[in-house]
Amino acid sequence: MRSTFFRVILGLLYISGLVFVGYVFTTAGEYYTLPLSERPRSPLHLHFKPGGLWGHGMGIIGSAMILLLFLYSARKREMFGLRWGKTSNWLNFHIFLGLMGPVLITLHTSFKFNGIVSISYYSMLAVMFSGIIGRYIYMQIPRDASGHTMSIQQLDKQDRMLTRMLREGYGLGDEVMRCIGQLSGAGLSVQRTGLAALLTLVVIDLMRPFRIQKLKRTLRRTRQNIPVRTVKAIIEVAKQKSLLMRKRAFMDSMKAVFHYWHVIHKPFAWVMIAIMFIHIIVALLFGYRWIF
Amino acid sequence: MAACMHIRRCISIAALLVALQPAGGQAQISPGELARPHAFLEGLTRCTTCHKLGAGAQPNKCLDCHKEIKTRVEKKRGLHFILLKKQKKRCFTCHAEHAGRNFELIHWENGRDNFDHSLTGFTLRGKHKTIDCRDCHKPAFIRENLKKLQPKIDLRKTFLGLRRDCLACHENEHRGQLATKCQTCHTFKSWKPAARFNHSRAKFRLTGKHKRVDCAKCHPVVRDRARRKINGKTLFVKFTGLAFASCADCHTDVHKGAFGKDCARCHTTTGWNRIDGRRFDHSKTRFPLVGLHKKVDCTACHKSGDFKKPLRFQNCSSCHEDVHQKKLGTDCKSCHTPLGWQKIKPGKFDHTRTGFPLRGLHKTVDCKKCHTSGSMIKPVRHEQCAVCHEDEHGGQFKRRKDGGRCEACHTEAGFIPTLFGPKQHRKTRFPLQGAHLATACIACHKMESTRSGRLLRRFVFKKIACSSCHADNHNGQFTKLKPVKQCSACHTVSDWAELRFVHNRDSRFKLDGAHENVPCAECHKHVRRNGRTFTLYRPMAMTCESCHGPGMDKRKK
Repeated sequence: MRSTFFRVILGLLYISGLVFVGYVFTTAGEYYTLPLSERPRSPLHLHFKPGGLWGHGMGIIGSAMILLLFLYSARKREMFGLRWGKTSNWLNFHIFLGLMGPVLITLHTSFKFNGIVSISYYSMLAVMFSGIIGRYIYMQIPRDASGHTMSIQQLDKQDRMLTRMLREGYGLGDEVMRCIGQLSGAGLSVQRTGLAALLTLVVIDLMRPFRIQKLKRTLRRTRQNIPVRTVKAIIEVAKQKSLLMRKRAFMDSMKAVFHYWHVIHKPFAWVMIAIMFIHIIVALLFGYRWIF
Repeated sequence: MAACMHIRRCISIAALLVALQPAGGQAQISPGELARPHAFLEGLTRCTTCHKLGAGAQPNKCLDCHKEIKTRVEKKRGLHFILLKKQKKRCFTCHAEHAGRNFELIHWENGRDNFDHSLTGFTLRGKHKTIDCRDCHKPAFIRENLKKLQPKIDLRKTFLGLRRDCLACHENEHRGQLATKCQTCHTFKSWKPAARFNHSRAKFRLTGKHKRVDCAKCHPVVRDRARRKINGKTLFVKFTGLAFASCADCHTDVHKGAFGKDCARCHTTTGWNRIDGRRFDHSKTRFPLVGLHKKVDCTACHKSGDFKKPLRFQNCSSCHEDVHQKKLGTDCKSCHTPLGWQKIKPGKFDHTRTGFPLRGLHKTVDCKKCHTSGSMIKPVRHEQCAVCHEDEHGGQFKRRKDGGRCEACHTEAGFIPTLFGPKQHRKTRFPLQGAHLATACIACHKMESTRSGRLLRRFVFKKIACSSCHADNHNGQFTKLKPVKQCSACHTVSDWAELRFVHNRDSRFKLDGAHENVPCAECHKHVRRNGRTFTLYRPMAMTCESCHGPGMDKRKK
C-alpha cells in the first residue's frame, strides 16, 4: 500500500517535472538558442536570464533539490533520526532529485557557463552521470527485498530452487538449460574485473533480447506444441535464474566497482556543493534575492 | 589503513578534479565577460564599480562614469533624458553587460538608419533625413568638450556633442551679412531656393515689376576682401549694404533731370510706361485733360505706350471719329464738350441744320426723348406728329382730306390752345351760329368712353341734329309724331325762346277771334306721362269741346 502510494507520488513528481521542463523549453527555447551576444536584446531575457524571475527561481529550486539529495546518504546511515521508509524508496526519490535538479540548474544557467560556478556545474553533471552508472552497478549486486546484499548461500539456494522449477516443473532438458546459462552470461565473468566486468555486463544486457529469442526457439524446437502461456512462464523463470546467475558470477567485481564509484561520485558532489554555496553567497552579497 | 587510503584517494581525486577544470582555478565570480569597452573593469575587486553590494543591479550607476551622458540628463537634453526620465528606462535595458566580449553595448533596434531622431530633440527633416549619420556626427562638428567629461570617449564613434543651430555644421555662406537664424529664409529641403525668404521683410519691398527681376540683377556677386574661403569659394552674393533709396541708384534718368528726382511722382513699379494718372500733371502738357479725358486710360491715346512720342491733338477728329460725316463741320467744340458727347453745349447746337428745326415746345424737350436710340446721329422719323405723339383724338380726323394732320389745329407751341376756332368751325358740317357761338367747346364736344374703354373727346359726330346735344323737352311730340318737325322749324340757334313758330302758319289750328289773346298755357297745358312732365302741344284735339267742354254754342265762337 505504502509502496504503491509512494510510486504514485513519485510518478506525479516525474510528470510534473517533465511538464514544467517542457513548458520552459516551449516558452524559452528560442531564447536559449540565441547566441549570448544577442540574448540581452530578446524580450525573454529579463525573465529567463540566470538572474531573471524564472531563471533565478529555477536555480533556487534546483539547488534545493541538490541539497535534498544528501538526505539519502543520511537515511542509509540512519543519521539525524532518519529511519522511516524503505531505502529503496529513498533511493528512487534520490534518483528523481538527481535527475530533475540538474535539469533545473541547467535551465537556470540558460546554457551559459562562466566563472567559478561552472566548476560546480560540471561537477554536478559528473555526479549526475556517475549516479546513473552507479544505479546500474547497484542493480547488478544481488539484494533482498529490504535492500540488503544477499550472501552466496542465499544466492545458491535461490538458484537451486529456480533450477528445480525449470527442470522438474517444466521438464526442460539440458539444451534449454544451457541456453539459460548463456542468457546469464555468467561464463564471461571469468578474469574480468573492474571496468571490464562492467562493460561486459553492458554487452550482456545488450545481447539479452537476442538470447531470449534464441531460448524461445530452442524451447519450441525441443518441446513440440508447447503452449504460448507455458513458454512465457518458462521465459520469466529463465530470466530470473539467468539474472541470479549473472549477479552471482559478477558479485565480487561489481562490489569492487561500486566501491570505486563512490570515490568519484562523492568528491564531485562535495566540489559541487562547495562552489554552489560560494555562488549563492556572492549572489546574495550583490543583492540578488529573487522574490524575497 | 584501508580507510585512510580511501580518504587520501578521495582527496587527491578531488584536487585533481579542481585542477583539471579548464580555467577553473582562475575563474572569477562574474556571470560573464564584460563587453570590450568595459573590459578594463574586469576583476574581482572591481565589481562594485557598477554593482552596489546588497542592492542588486544599480539602475543608473553607469552615469557615475559616463558624465557626458549625466550632464545631458541633468540639462534635460538629448536622447538619454527622454529614455531615462520620460520613458523610465534604465541603462541596462539597452546596454546589458556580462554578455561576452563581443557584445555590442550600443544597439540600434531597427537599424541605425531607422533610428527615430526626434527622440534626441532634433527631428530630421528634409535633406537631413537623407544624409548619413556620420555626415553630421563627426569630430569636426563636435562643439562640446566631451573629452573633459569622458576622457575615454572616441570622438569618431560618439553621437554626442553637436549643437542644433545651423552654423554648428554649416558655413555661414552670407559671411555675417544676415542674421544667423537660417530658418528665417531657408528650409530643410535645400538651401536653394530660399523658400521662406520674403523680400517684404527687407528694407526695400519689391513691388510691381521689381518682383519679376532676377535677384542677381540687384544683388551682385562680390569677392571677399579678406579672401576667406567658405564652401571653397571667396565669392559671395551681396545682400546688404546696397543703395536703394532712389530709383536712380539702379535706373538711368531718361528725362535727364527734367522732372526732378522723384520718379515716384509719376511712375510706379508696375512699369515705366504705366504712369499713374493721379500723379502725373497733364496740365503741364499742351493738352490739359478735362472732363472725360481725365478718365481715359493713358494708353487709349498714347497707344504706343511711349508717352514722349508726340500726339496730334489739335482736332477732336485726331482721336475721335466724326459720326456726323463732316456734315456739321469739323468744329466739334461748337456743340460738344469734354464732359461727354451727349452733353451738348446749351444753345450751341443748331437744330435747324437738321431736317427738323426745333420750334416751340420742341426746343425744351430733352434730346433723348426723341433720339430714343441713344444716338444723336441716328435719323429720327419726323414726317408726322403722330410719329412721336399719340393721337389724342383716336383717329376721328383720319377721314379728313389732309388725313387728320395735327398741324391743322395745333402748333409746336403746344397742343392747347388749338388753332381751331369759330372760323374753322364754319368749315365743318356744323357752323357755329347764335348761341352756339357762346357755347364752350366742351359743352358739345364731351368726353366719351370708346369700346376699348378709352376716353375720347368727341369731335366728329355721325349725326348732327339738335337732339345730338339738346334734350327734347317736347317729349317727342314733334319728332315721333307725324308730321315730323325739326327743332329749327320753331326755334332758332339764338335762343330757344326766340321762336320762329307762327301758330296760324305752322299749325292746323288757326288762332282767331278770342283765341288770339289766349295765353299759350291756357290751351297747351302741362301734362305728365311716363314719369315726365311736359307741355302738350300735339296732338291736341281741335274741337271746341276739347277745351271748352261739351254743348259749347257755336255762336260764342
